[in-house]
Formats: sequence, structure tokens, C-alpha cells
Amino acid sequence: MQTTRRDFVKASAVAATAAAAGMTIPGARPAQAADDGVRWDKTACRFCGTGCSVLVGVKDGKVVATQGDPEAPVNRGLNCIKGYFLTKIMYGKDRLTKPLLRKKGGKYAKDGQFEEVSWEEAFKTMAEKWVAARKAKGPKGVGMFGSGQWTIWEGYAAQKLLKAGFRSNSLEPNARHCMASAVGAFMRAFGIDEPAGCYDDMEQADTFVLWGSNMAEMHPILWSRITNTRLTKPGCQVHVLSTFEHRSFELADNPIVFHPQSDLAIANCIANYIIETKAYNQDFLDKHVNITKTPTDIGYGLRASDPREKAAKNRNKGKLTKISFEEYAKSVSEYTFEHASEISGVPVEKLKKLAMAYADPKTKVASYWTMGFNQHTRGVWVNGLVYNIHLLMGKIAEPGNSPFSLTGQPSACGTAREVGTFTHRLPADLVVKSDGHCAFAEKMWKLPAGTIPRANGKANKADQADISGKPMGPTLIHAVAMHRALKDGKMNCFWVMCNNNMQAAANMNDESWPGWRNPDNFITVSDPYPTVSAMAADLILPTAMWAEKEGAYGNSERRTQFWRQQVKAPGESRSDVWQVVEFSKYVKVEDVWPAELIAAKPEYAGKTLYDVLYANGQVDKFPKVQVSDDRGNKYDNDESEYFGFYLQKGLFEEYRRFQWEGPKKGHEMAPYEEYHKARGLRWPVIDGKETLWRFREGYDPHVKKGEGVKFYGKKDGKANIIFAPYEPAAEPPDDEFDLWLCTGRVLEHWHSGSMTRRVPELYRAVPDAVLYMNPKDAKKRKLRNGSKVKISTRRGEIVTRVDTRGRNKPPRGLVFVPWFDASRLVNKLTLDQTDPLSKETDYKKCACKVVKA
Amino acid sequence: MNISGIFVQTNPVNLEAVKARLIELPGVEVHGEEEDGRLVVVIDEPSDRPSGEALMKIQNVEGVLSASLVYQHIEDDETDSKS
Repeated sequence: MQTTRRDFVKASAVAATAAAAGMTIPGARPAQAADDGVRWDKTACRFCGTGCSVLVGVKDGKVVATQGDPEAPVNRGLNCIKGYFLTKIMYGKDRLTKPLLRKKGGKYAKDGQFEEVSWEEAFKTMAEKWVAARKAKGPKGVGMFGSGQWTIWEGYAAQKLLKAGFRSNSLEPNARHCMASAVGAFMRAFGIDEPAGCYDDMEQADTFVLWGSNMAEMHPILWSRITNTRLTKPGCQVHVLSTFEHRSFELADNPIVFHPQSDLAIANCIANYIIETKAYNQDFLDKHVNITKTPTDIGYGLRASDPREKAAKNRNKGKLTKISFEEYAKSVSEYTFEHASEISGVPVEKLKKLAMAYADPKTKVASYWTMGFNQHTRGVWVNGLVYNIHLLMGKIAEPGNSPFSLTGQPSACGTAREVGTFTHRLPADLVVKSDGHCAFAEKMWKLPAGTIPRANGKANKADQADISGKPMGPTLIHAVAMHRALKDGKMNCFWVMCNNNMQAAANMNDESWPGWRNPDNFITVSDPYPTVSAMAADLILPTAMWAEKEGAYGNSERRTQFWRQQVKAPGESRSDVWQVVEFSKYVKVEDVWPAELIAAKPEYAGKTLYDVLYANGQVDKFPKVQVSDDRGNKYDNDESEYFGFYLQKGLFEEYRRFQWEGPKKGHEMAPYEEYHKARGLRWPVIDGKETLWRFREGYDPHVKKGEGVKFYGKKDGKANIIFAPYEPAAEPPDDEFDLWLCTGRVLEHWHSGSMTRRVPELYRAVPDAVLYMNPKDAKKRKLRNGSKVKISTRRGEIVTRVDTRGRNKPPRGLVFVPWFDASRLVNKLTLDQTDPLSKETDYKKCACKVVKA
Repeated sequence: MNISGIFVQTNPVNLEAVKARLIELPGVEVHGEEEDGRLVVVIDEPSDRPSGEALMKIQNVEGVLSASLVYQHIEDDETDSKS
């Protein structure tokens, strides 16, 4: 009997795997769903920006199994190792189940110990602090740091709370650390965020170029698609560029290891080759492209007092100037193969091979990048330099020709970018710099005119009145500046939700820690687990995660995906959206709005922010329903149950009005219910149809017949080529700190490891962050594989072990340390340098030294 | 009983070598292959072994470009637990 059952299951495994691999195996029987009392339903994976659909099996109120979704266009039944263990991320032994407040003698005290409190006490305490800080310090007195892991409605609810409720633009997502440079470059080149192409390009392209992305480890499922194309399509080539050799190099036909920062020179060198050989697409350039340049010598986003900032001629400047094609050609002419080779350390032949792939009009090229480009003090520039190449050739916005920025978080696109939970943004690509955009948002949200703080604090050219009694003043504050403001006492309340910023932010010793522990400040962290951030807070709010709530994410290819609540959250933990909406009940309009603003809408007098923002006749308009699927299964929705209306739907449908009625077209999404039926839809979704390639007639409904290509994010329908030169990094190695330190991720762990390190199998597989080092560099320091070492920078030191034989193989002069390890906090070492334009941190380049410990 | 189906991709020139390395791992069987480097692998692990261990080993096998899980079935059975 046993053998038969085992053979049957094995045959099912073979059949399912062969089907996913596109192979036929004679005699393999199709897999059958076992009738074992497990309820299966689709969800979007909790981890990276790929957006795999994962089937979740629930039995007796617990998630017992996960499986790659065979019907999902993204992952086609495949699942990576982290997805395999998704089940376990909710069941770590140290799940938080009650709010915890630092107290002494029965009262809140900054130096107190954590004690269990009720949600009411937690929010009452928090509201008192927030209202006081908002009054005393103005719009920047309070701040919230959210997430690219927030569901769409969580980000949307938080945006309303901060920008409309508290009248503060101090809202940032952790996506600032990961995608801001990509966004900056999209806006500058195309006037609209997110890629023109989609994952279908992974089968359509002939040549793949990875610029600063280790897809094999960070986007394994997408990597399997590219691997498939490389192995099955004749002539297909893969070029991999990085500052050190990693797993993706195993597929590389042209492996390229370059000196940090020299990607700027390499990209310009390719443009120069295209121009010198006249390979460019003149027709495309004439019709669809403007040529510009950007100011140079712009600093490194450090504190203004830093000598490097004082020395910068055009600190933080980014205004584009139109130039002629000839001027552009002259600017890039400096970047000959020889010169680029000198700067980058890459042999001329390798650069040529790469340049020729881009320059061949018959070769379809897809370029991919992630943090290597975005976490870069010239991140916006370097993103743009790759657009330059694609625009020169007209290799964009059509199947297979695709410059593509990959995201690292499941909803960096869907929430942080599309909802716009950045200090400067509003939903659907609107910005607080624009009076008109703010006025539109105020109309949508039924707010008095002038409620939303403008970037410059002036509505209709007059100072915006503020509860502080002073004029609003400039209101923008980005993520890194928030930690500085906390340290300087300019911001006194900070709510960190759905991320682990104490571990994630650079320069923990000099900025993050002193900021959070500043006695004047009240820090709230919402998390399912006692992370490094939670333990550094004053109030911890226990959080319902992922499948414990109804959710929606948007992945890298503009695909919006929904899931239903699968299980209940443990204890008193509550979802982020519940926390944001519930907290708003504790603040009255009078606490945060000046009298003249309330006078403009007297019916709001005496109301709470909850009444104004969420019980506004729009968000609360859909009654609660029994959530069910087409197979008759029933699901909970704890938020609907608590608030008495379908909260998620109300938030989404109000958000959708920004897309359909707003001043910027091209972001349209389908009605709420459609997403519960589909395996995601790529926006713009017009007449129920998703869009695979944007800006191209025949694919994008916003491009009219006869227009061919139209970059409609820009008024004149043209994209920008933007020249930017090579400029050195902020902190190159010197005699004392003689190595480049690069940080990043590993396959087994996701980001700060707060989830994956609680999966015993993943923890055991990669328990600690090691220092990857070149064997010659190790030998020079009398170190061996496994030696204990001290890594230090100008900001701090940590101790770990050397790995000279691991999967990452740095060249001489560079070391790599992953950042997932809470017991070895590599961000004690990193420098809080940012791209001056995007304000995104560069975690890839600072100087360190390594000695035996 | 803990049976998983894994889709493995490898460079065709390494196919034979990778196959040999894979079947050396306990519980790993190769059930199908294509000349272009695709392999259908099944892992038959006892249910008391930490699940996913073999998958993690597979992706670190030299020459494996990519390893993705497609199918998994875990079932308690007496035969497994008594041995």
C-alpha cells in the first residue's frame, strides 16, 4: 500500500514540475488536488517585488501549506525558497500579541521598561504626544515612516492621516531607501512613473543586461524565466555587470566586474559608441526625444555642514537644460572604450561586446537593474544614462526592448509609488508642489481648500495657516532627513510601520539611534515581531501580517494583485490599516487644524480625524459583506467586522477616483471586485483590458491611432535623454580605510531578516552575515576562510567571520556584507549619503578596513 | 512522506555533471531532462527531516543556475515515523 501511495504522489510531483518547466514526460500523471480538508486560495507573496502568486492552504484556521500558483502569469507554478517557507513567517515563537509601552511607576517614561497596555492606552498616549508635537514644532514635528510592504489601502489610509489629517508632509516609505532613484529617473525621462514594458519581455528579448542586480538570488523566479530564454533561444546573450562576482554571473556570456561608481562611465561609453558608429535611430530621436543635460557637482546628500557638501558647486540641483544632439555627442565623446576601461577597470573587449549588443538594431535588448543603480549617490543619473541608450536606439516600449527597473519590495510600486506615500507625492503621480494637484486632492477628500500642506507652505500664493500659529513654511522632509530631524529635536514623534528602519537606515550610530533615543522624542513601531526597531521604540504595536488581512500589492510590472484574509491574527495584533484608521479616532480636528481652516468647513467642527477622513460618506460607503470566492469558500474580514463597513473597498474605490478623474492619465485601475477574480492586472486597465507595453500604439490605449509612440507623461509627448558625466563617490577608500564596503542581500533572507530569520530552516541555512572577501585581500591581512574579523569605518565597527570561498566573489579592494543580520548591524558602518536628487541612500559604497578580531 | 517537485535549470554543457551531483544528495531523483539544460527533480524526504533542506542544497550545487519549487506534498504516515 505504502509504495503505491508514494509512487502516486511522486508521479504527481513529476507531472506538475514537468508542466511548469514546459516539458513532456511520458506516463506522468497529472497532479490532483487532494481532498484533505485544506482550503486553497491565491495570495501575492509577502517578499520581493516579483509578485509571485502563491496558493495558500488553510486548515483549522492555520496556514499549513503554500504552493506556486500554476495559473499565475508571473511565476507559472514556480516558487523560490523564501516562497516555499512563506507559511512559517507568521508563526515565529516571539510574535507580539499586545501593545507594549515603556513605563515607570505606572506612567509612560522614555527610560521605562516595556509593559503590556490596552490599545486604548497606547493610542491615547500616542495621540497626546502627536498633538503636542504638531502644535509645538509645526508640520515637521511629527512623521511617519511606512513601507513598500504596506498593502495599497494601508498606504492610502496613512497618506490621508498624515497629509490631510495632521496636515503634515512628513510621510515617507522605506521605498525611499530602495526605489526613489528609479522614480526620479522615470519622472525626469518620461514624466510618469514605472516601466514601459513588462515581464513578457523576458521571453521576447534577445539580449539581457543586468546592471547592478543579482537576480539569481534576489528575484529567483524572474531569473528562472531569463535562464529559460537564454537556454532555449538561439543567439540569446546575457551580460552581467556588478562590482563583484555573484550567482548571476553563472549565466553570463559577458561577465563584467567594474569599479564602484564607474557604471556612469560605462553607460556613457555605450552611448558614445552608438553615436560614433551612427547606429542611433534618427527617426525615433526626431519624433520622440528631447536632449538635455543635468547640473553637475551636486554633492552627496550629507548634512549641509559636511565639507563635501560645502564644496559642491550645484548642491542638490537637477533642473534640466535642453542641448543639441551635437552638444550631447560632444559630452559623451570623452567616454571612449579606452577611457571608460581606465575608469572602470573593465577590459575594452568586454565593453565593446556590451556596446555592440545595444547598438545592433536587430537585437532586442532588455536591461534590468535594482539596488546597484538605485542605491547610488548618482542613482537618478545612472538610471537615466541607461534610458539614454535605449532612447538613442528607439529600443523601448515594445516587446523585448525594455529598460526595466526591478523592485525589491512587494508593493514598492503598488503602494509607495502609485499611492504616493512619499513626502512630495499624492496618489496617481500627483505632487504637493502643485497647487492644482493639492486642490484636486482636497476636492476628492472633501476637505476645505488649503488643507494639504504645499511643498512651499503656500496655497494660492498665500502662506498656509497652521495650528502652530506660525506660517506652515517648507514642508518636505525625506527619510534620511527624518532621522537627522529626530536627532536634532526638530521632529518629536515618529511612527514606523511595516519596516525595520533602525536596522535598515544608514549610519545607525551617528544618526538613527541618537534620534530615536532622544529624550524629547516619542517613537512608535508597528510590527509583528520584536525587531531591532521595535526594541528601540517607546511604543510597540502588535501587527497582523500578510494573509491575516485582506490585502493588495502592486509588483514591478504594474500588476495589481489582491488576496483575501486567510486566517486570524494572534492575540490583540491588528493590521496596519486598522491601526491607522483607529488611531484617527483619538485626534480631533481642533487639535491639528487652525480655526480659519475649520471655519471654511464648519460641519467638521468638533469632529475627529476618523469622521473627516474615513467616515466621510465615501470610504464608508460600502457595507460589510461576507467575503467568499467562486468555489463557495467563506473568508473573514476583521476590519469590516470592526468598523462596520467594507474598509478596504472604500479606500480603494476612493483612491481609484484619482486615477480616473485626476489630472494625470495612464494610472487607471479596474473596480475592486475584478482583482479578487484575476491573477493581477497591469495598469492602465481600460475597458477591463490590461496594458503590457505603454506609450506604443496598439498596446497602450492612451496612444491614439497614427501616433505610433507617445510618451504622454510629458506635455510634448517626448522623452528626455539626459546627459550626466562620471563623478567620483563620496567616500572612496584611502590609506587607512582601504577597502570598499558594499552591502546587500542573500537568497535565503529577505531585507532585515525579521521574517526569514524566524523560519528555522532559512536561519540554519544562512545564520549569520559574513564578510565576503577576495582570498588575496584576506591573505594580505593574515586572514583565512572563517577567521573572525573586525570591520570598521569612520562611524563604527562590527565583528563577523570572513568568507573567501562563498557564492559572492569580490575583486581585490572590495568586501560585501549582507544586512539581514540583527546581531551584526552593518548599518552601524554605512554612511548616510544619498543621491542629492532622489534622496535615496547609497548603501553600496563607503570605505572600511578589516582586521583580525 | 514529504515529496517535492523541483524545476532545475543548468547550462547544457554541465548537464551530466550536475545530474551526477544531484543524485548524490539523499532523497534526490532526476525524473526528466532536456538537452537545453532543464531537469525535473523529485525530492523524497522523510517527514522528520526539516523540509526544504534538500531544495536549499540543490540550489547551491555547482552548475545549478536556478532551482524552483513546483510541487510539495507532506503526509504523516506510520512507515516514515517508526523507522
